[in-house]
Amino acid sequence: MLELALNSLIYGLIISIWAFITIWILTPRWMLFLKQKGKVVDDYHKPGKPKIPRPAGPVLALGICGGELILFFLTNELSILLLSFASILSFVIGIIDDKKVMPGWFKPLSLVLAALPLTFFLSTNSLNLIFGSVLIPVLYIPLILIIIPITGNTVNSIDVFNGVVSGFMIISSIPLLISIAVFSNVNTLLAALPLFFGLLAFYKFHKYPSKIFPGDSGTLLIGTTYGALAVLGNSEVIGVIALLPAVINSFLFLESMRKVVEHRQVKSRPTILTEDYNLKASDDPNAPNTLVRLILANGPLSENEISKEIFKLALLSALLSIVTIFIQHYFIFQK
Amino acid sequence: MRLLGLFLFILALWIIILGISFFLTTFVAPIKITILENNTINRIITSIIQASTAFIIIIIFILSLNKMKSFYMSRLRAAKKQ
Repeated sequence: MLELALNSLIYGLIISIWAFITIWILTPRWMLFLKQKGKVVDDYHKPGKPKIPRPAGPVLALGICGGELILFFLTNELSILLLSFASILSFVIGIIDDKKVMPGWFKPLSLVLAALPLTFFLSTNSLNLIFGSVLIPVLYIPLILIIIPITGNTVNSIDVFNGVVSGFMIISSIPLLISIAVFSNVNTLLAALPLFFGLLAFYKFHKYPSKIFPGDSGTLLIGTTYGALAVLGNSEVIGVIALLPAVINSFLFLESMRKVVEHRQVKSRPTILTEDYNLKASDDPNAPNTLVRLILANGPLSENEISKEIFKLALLSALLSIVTIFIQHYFIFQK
Repeated sequence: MRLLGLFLFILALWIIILGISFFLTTFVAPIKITILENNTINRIITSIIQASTAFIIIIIFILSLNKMKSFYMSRLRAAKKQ
């Protein structure tokens, strides 16, 4: 028992350090490489529109997927290998989207492919629904095939300003880690560490003012890994609650557009950049509703201020998730 | 406070998720249909009924989300006019 705990601690340390150090050390070199290759995009919300390298996906993949693969070799746990496959597939889908602008349906549909590996290994077919665990043998596989594309795209859609997606996902990962620790096993908890520590390292470069952008390869990788961990960690509902601000953002966008479209294909922007480089909500009735537009409804804010407001919403959702973990723990284990 | 409306929006969503989870675990999960002698068919029928009920509830959730959004937007517009 003690040996098992010690091994888990060592494995956790190895993969956490791997994810953190790989991303921390390689990102500056990757930024330089991207700049030399001319793989840069405008940062629209700053004076002079500085050129920012994109995508950071390959470095994130090396840190996060690499950590997961190392854990697989240490534990021989099949579910971790399938988690790595899902993460790698989503990264490949993102890279395709980074290189070539694909139609709106491409990401959600192709992410179903990324979810497929997880359906090969199902240790359970029950869903923790806060007030109890429900057996859903018929629905569980379709549910996985829906959850992964939704989380992938939802996280992708929150990548709106400097540091938002990385900061938001660091906050959202905390209740997920707690939930996995409570409702799942040690190996799944260990598998969640590369995502958390990888994001912590990446935030240093992505926070305002960003030195690099994650690109679709980065955001889809983060979102899919998060969704896959929620599935493997019996924490689907907890994971959704922690992502509520991003879910609202996706819902508002889809509801106002009435179809799945790429953000860059939207003709009327939800926000307008003012002369003093603040952002204000658009008055155009044809502009899509987004979370940022709602935040700006009470007046203009700077990019950095908007990011902080989004983090406050993420903190509330994380808090509600943690309360939900307590409720679920009571109903599943104690009642 | 700028975010008060959005805080309440998220809180309301959370309460709805709790409500749906309570309904599903308390009323839908225990459903057991026994029409035929064959247990497998009974289980499939039960699963289909449970899945359909869950699906309807999800639709109601999306519609209520839409209603909440409309209410929130109308409040925002009213506040802006003032």
